[in-house]
Amino acid sequence: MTRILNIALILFAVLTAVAIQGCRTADDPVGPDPGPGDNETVTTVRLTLTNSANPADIRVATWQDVNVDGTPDSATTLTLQQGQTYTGTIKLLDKTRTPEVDQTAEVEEESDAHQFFYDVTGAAQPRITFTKTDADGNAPPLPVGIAYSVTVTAGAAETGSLRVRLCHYDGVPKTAAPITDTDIDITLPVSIAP
Amino acid sequence: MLTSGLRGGGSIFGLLIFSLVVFTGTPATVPPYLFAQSPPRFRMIGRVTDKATGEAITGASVAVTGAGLNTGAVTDQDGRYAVSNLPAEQVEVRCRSVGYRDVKNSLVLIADTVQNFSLSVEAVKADEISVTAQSESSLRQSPQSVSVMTEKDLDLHRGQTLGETMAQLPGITVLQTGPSVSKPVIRGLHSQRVVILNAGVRQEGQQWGAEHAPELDPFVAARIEVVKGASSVEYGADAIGGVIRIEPRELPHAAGLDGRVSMNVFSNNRQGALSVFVEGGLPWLDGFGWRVQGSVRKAGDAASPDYGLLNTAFSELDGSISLGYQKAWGDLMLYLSYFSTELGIFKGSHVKTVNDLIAAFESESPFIQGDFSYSIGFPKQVIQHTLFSLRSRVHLGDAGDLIIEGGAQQNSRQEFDAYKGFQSVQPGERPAFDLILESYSGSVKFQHRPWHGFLGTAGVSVMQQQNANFGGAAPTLIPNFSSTTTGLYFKEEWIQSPLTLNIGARFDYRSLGAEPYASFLFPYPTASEQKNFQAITGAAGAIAALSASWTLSASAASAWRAPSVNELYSYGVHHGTAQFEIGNRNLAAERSLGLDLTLRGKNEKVQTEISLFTNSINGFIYLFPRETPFVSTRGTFPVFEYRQTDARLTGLDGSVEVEALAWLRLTAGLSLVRGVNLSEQDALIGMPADRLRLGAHFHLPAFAGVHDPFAEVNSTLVRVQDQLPRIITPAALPPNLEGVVNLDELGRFYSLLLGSPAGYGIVDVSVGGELNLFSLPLQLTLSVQNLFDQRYRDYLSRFRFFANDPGRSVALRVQLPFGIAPPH
Repeated sequence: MTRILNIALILFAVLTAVAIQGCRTADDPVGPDPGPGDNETVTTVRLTLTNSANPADIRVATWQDVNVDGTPDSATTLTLQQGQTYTGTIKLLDKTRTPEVDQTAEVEEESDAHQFFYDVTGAAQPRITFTKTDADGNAPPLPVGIAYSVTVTAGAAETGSLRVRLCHYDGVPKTAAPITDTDIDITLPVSIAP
Repeated sequence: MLTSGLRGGGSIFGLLIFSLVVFTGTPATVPPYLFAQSPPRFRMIGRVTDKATGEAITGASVAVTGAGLNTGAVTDQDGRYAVSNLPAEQVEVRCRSVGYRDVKNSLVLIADTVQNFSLSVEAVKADEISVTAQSESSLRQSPQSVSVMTEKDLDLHRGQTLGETMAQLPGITVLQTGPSVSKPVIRGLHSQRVVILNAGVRQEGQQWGAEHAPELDPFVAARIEVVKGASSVEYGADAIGGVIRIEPRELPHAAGLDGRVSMNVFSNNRQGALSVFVEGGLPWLDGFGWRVQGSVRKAGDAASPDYGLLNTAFSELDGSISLGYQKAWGDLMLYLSYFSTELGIFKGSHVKTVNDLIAAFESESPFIQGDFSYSIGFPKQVIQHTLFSLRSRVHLGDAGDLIIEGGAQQNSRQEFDAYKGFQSVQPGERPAFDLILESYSGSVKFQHRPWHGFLGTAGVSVMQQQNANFGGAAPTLIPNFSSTTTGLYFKEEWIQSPLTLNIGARFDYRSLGAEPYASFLFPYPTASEQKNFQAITGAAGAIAALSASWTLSASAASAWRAPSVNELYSYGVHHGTAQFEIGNRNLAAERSLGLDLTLRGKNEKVQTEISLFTNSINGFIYLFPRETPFVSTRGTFPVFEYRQTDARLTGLDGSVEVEALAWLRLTAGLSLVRGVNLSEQDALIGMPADRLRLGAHFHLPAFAGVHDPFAEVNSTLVRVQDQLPRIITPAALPPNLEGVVNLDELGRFYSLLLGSPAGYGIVDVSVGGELNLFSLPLQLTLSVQNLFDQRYRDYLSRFRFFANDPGRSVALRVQLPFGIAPPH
């Protein structure tokens, strides 16, 4: 009986200690992070397209939201010339930092698990073709989409939208469809000049 | 003292030691000055309980007779009675209650005496019982609808979550987020609109989240009472939907040592659970009781009929200590509990953008599937909850009882995201949420002795809370805050057979100081904001005995709730839901008025309770989508802002139990709720679907040394939820969003979000019995949940967007009570 009581008393002490251990000390509560979110903020998506026939003809379209207030500060129209071919690149920037940080390098580093998608919708859709021209380290290599080429067929003026998405393949093969884990998802107006 | 106890750690132990010293130091007899009269007069107090269930028996009469003596008392709601002014002589005590066998005892009074009675159910009809006693027994109940789960009911569900256990009760449904997280819903309301009392203390965690389960060890509960409907008068702010009272086992008050080992295993998620308690008294200290209890649960990934549910494993470790001391002057109870869990959140339910969410919604099965594992990956929750409660009841002579309660608790919640960006940062290095909520509460109430048929209580209560963030994104949803709530109330009951009337009122005052973040805009404005809320609530009710076994009760009760911090100050994308939530700092308090009509019947053959209710809520706070979405580089998010409307919930719930034959008991339970948004003339979102439970319990003949064998079949039938809010079509966009937002996608999102899954039916079966193992009664139950491996999704499950609910599970439950007789 005494022994059981002793065991019980030891249990008391252990449980009390566990319970007290369970209390976390609360001495330095914090406010929010100094920046919105983490090291992976992207405020700006910039597409730069160079006319293959005329290197001086450079088309730039920027989608930017620096203050993260729910509306883009700018979403410029990507204007392309009919009957031309362009070579393009994409840049992801974090302009909340000074100097601004180029986040594209981070995607390049993890290119085996990332891919950009460029989808044109609207009337311009049958006229514009995006082709990814880069490759990752997978076997066989798969496209990444940081470098691409764009072909615009000859014809009349037309408008539409361009949706740019960066898909993340975490734990799924990069060939998997549909897109279920999205890092970037923006839409820009697009137009074909006659 | 309590504050420093929880923070510093050291002094809580000191408090325990101090309490022990107080216990052991208290003389076994009552201080003489309290009853110093000549010739000596004594008091007899005690409690009357049901021998089988341990439940308190209300309205039992205790008669004390002797030479020229004829006095007595009737037990109150807790089954307690007190008879004072007794002479020092031989008396006979007789306890009786309708439906129970009388118990007699004769004793010589030489001091104040504690005389408890446990009554066994009368097998045959008791003719002798007087009509008044019968009426009193059924009368002394709440005018509101109350559902109770006794230890016996609870034992059949040991090892399951609290929500799942309670889903057996009429009017109760479950809000589920995967197999590991469930929270109870009372008549369509949950989370901040339901008060949970754990050992008398309001359980305070981060209750705002649908995926935040109550931090309780279901093994501790010996009794669960659910008060349905508005009940602020007794329980204070937030009791709009109802109150769940969870009580641990009554402590022993005599020397001896006993305990129980409960074990169970579940096949579906290969869960194992073990819970042990040891309790006893001290031979040299009469009236002292103690209990030490601990539980551990470990489960792997659950599986739906067709695929495994990756990352739904969890582990839980809980423990509690109770100490009690009961004497003629009253009693004192200390309770310390620790709860800790680490639980995985289903990988397939984690989405970053609306696009991902739509893809998940529209897919037959989850994108991410994996093999069974016990490992807990990301996303996950890590939670610890420590609760300390002290309760004391002091008998103040003939005036009544003083009840003092104090509580201190700390809730720590860390949520880790699965998000692993495009950088090589590993998830889990930093939680997405890291919150510590500390709550301190105290109350003093006075319960006066029955006086000309009046019974009443008046009291004050105070609660202080503070919430702190330790990093992560949470401040944008739950800012740091501190709040104080003070309440003053009274309630009075008048019992005059065959009628009981009651009335009560309460005043509450709540002040809230928060440090909200107005937006993501730079720089972060971190101005603090002070808000005060106050409310007067009332309640009135009547119970009429229609016959010896039937009563009809009606009640009107009001409740209130101050808007919570997330409703006031949220500004951000809610963890894993792809919803941008915006608080409204101008929200007023919610006020509700509940009307309830309940018919109860209880005789040897039938036990039933049927309630008709309506709960009108003014300023009901809910999330409503804004026309303009939130557009960022991460995609377009639907914006939901907190709004207020007038809402009304009406419904019916009831249960019937019929002892149809000597070997057969039939049970049925029904829950119906309809919620209307009165301002919008629309259905309320997230109301539970209509639900019917049917069951049959077979009492089998004893065989091969197995006592009380039984077999049970239960089916749950859930109708499709067709009371859905109108589908929102996104309006035309402002010019600056023209061409950058995909309207079709948003429209698809809303229609999927507001849709409901098909109805379903599932069948559970179980068999069990008791056999002797080395003269110890070993209880065994084997049950199969979801016998037919039904594929289903429940409307109240957030999980329904991503995967089917778990399939068949075979569970084996073993309980072995043990005891050692006290030394003589």
